Amino acid sequence: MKKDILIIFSAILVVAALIMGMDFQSVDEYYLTHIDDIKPDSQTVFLSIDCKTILENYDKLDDNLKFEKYVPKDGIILKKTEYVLRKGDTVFDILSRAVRHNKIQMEYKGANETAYKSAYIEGINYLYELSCGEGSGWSFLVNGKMTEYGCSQVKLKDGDVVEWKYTCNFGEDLKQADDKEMK
Amino acid sequence: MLNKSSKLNKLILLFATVTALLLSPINAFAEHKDYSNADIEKTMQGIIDWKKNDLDIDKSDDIFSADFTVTAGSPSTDWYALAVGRLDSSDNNYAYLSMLENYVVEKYKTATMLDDTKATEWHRISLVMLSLGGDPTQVGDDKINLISDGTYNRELFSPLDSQGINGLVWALITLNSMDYKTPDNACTTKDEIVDSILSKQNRDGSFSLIDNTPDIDITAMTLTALSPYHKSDNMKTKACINRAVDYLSAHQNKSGGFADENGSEAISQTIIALCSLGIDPVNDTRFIKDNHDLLDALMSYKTSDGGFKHQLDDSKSSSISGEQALLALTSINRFQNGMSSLYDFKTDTKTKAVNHIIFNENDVKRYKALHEKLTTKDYTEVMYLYNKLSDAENKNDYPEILKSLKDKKVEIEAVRKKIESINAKILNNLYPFDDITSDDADMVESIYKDVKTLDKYDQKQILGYEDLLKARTKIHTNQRSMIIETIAVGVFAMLIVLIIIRLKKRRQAKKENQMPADDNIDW
Repeated sequence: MKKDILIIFSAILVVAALIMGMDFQSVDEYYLTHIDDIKPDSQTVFLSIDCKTILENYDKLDDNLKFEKYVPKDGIILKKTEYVLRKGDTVFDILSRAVRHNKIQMEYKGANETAYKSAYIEGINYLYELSCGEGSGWSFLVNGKMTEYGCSQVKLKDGDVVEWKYTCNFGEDLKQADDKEMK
Repeated sequence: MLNKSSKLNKLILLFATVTALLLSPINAFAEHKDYSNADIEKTMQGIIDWKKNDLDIDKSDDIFSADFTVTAGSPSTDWYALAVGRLDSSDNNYAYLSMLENYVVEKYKTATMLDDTKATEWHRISLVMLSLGGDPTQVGDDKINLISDGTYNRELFSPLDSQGINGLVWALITLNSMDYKTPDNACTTKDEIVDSILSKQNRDGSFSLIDNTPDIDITAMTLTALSPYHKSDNMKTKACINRAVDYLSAHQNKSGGFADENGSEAISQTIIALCSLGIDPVNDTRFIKDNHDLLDALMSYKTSDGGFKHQLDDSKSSSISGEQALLALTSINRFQNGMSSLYDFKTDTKTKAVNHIIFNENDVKRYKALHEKLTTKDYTEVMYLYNKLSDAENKNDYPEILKSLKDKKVEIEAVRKKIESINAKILNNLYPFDDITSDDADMVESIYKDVKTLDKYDQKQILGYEDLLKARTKIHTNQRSMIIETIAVGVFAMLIVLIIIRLKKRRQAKKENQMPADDNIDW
């Protein structure tokens, strides 16, 4: 009699465990569906997208874009978010994955269409180059520094911080912002 | 080697120049002290070869092969094409021109036409067309007028100067390239553009891209734009030109170039500007510093692979530096041969080249080499053959090929549309990824089926293909889990039923065991 109860109990346990905790997947399937999950041993990078400089140059902004859905109140389009770094990932790879997953609009020219042999980001969140004055467009900083290279040429390493920023003055305004933060 | 023998060279040159001046008045321009015309031509060929290599085009192939013409309309190849047209160094100008016209026609189907804000897109493409023998005032069946839309009537769409002075400068260069007249009802006249440019000059004679920061590159380009007016009677314009020339001369350093941070492009643009103004870029004393001139400086940016780099300590050649060096050398070459300046197409257009198009045996061979099943990879080739045959004088000789090419063109365009639509579906339906559930199975499966109908090459053009597989796997996993869960629950229920039956049986068995005992007692 007691034995029976024990068997019933363990049967319930097994079934509960099966129902609650397990997806039945092969190793490949698991790898594919969990590739972007952050685990303790994952290599990761951080990404943010902002257009804060537009807030200071709002009068120059194209009238069609003067809405909060294009330029958020705080200028932040994507707050600093951690992403899994895959082998060989460039600044462009992380950006394109992030905007896809967050449903942020993005338009770019592929590497073969630009003389730099690098992809070129034309617009994010409907904000394009020249949308906010002559010297406006998208720029990126890696660990707070600008680079001469195009975004699909810069490979990332564990812990890198990538910031996509909209500039209204050929990047000059981004440098100033950096100085301020450093002070 | 060239430097070591420079003294001797100079003597020879001096002698040669004097003799040349005495004997033949035609050869009025002196060669460079170190680089002969042949050296310059060799360097230009080197740049073209570098670009070919960069695009994986065989050195022996014409530069205008499919891998090059596929990006017609983008700055990465347009400037090279302009130089190649000016140098007559391709036998196949038509290949690039037809792709460029095709690009314009396709782009004009969109709301922003060539670009939302950048007028320079119209200018660059117009100049390339002129250089290759095309006519930017009537492009495609709808006779698109790039000159009108890009210069004097640009204001109908967007201000000419949305990009700053750049838009004005290139509009002026484009208008003067063929001395296009602005109609009476034009939004902007040539004089207005000139005045607008003059008003932007800084006190020191320079021009700026950003605020009032002097910029060598922009100053030089502006001079190129103003060059047709250097002989005019307008004192104001003349004075403006002179001050800008003085500014450039004053900022030239001992090596003959400018501060390295300006990049080699500043030197190239200055050479183009001086040639346009009729100032000898390598012999005019205003532009020789410490025995070094602009060409010496430009050559110091040449890399061992034949290309040019942006800054002296760069390890790699840059496509932009190469293209500008090529244009600068083309300018010098034209200047020394007494030809019109780089962007002056008035005297030597080659519209004839376009008027005599023959679909030849080689083209027929290329047509026959097309695969039965076409992918988007074949688009350039099909477009080239189709455009050429429909423009060819002998097109009536090949009615079947023409029809077949048209079908193929339609076929590939349909595939391109399909790829676009799949890309849009993926983008709109698959994200955020965490929200994908088994309810989306039909949607994901239908996209997947669509993708699978595509050829392998075209499948690679699908953006987010990995995410599609991911979504599909996730849904399959969910479905499988559900099946297993159902089975598990079923098994569990059966177990319970079994156990209950067993319990009942046992209880009955016990009762039956006890019953006889009771009977025994009763007995």
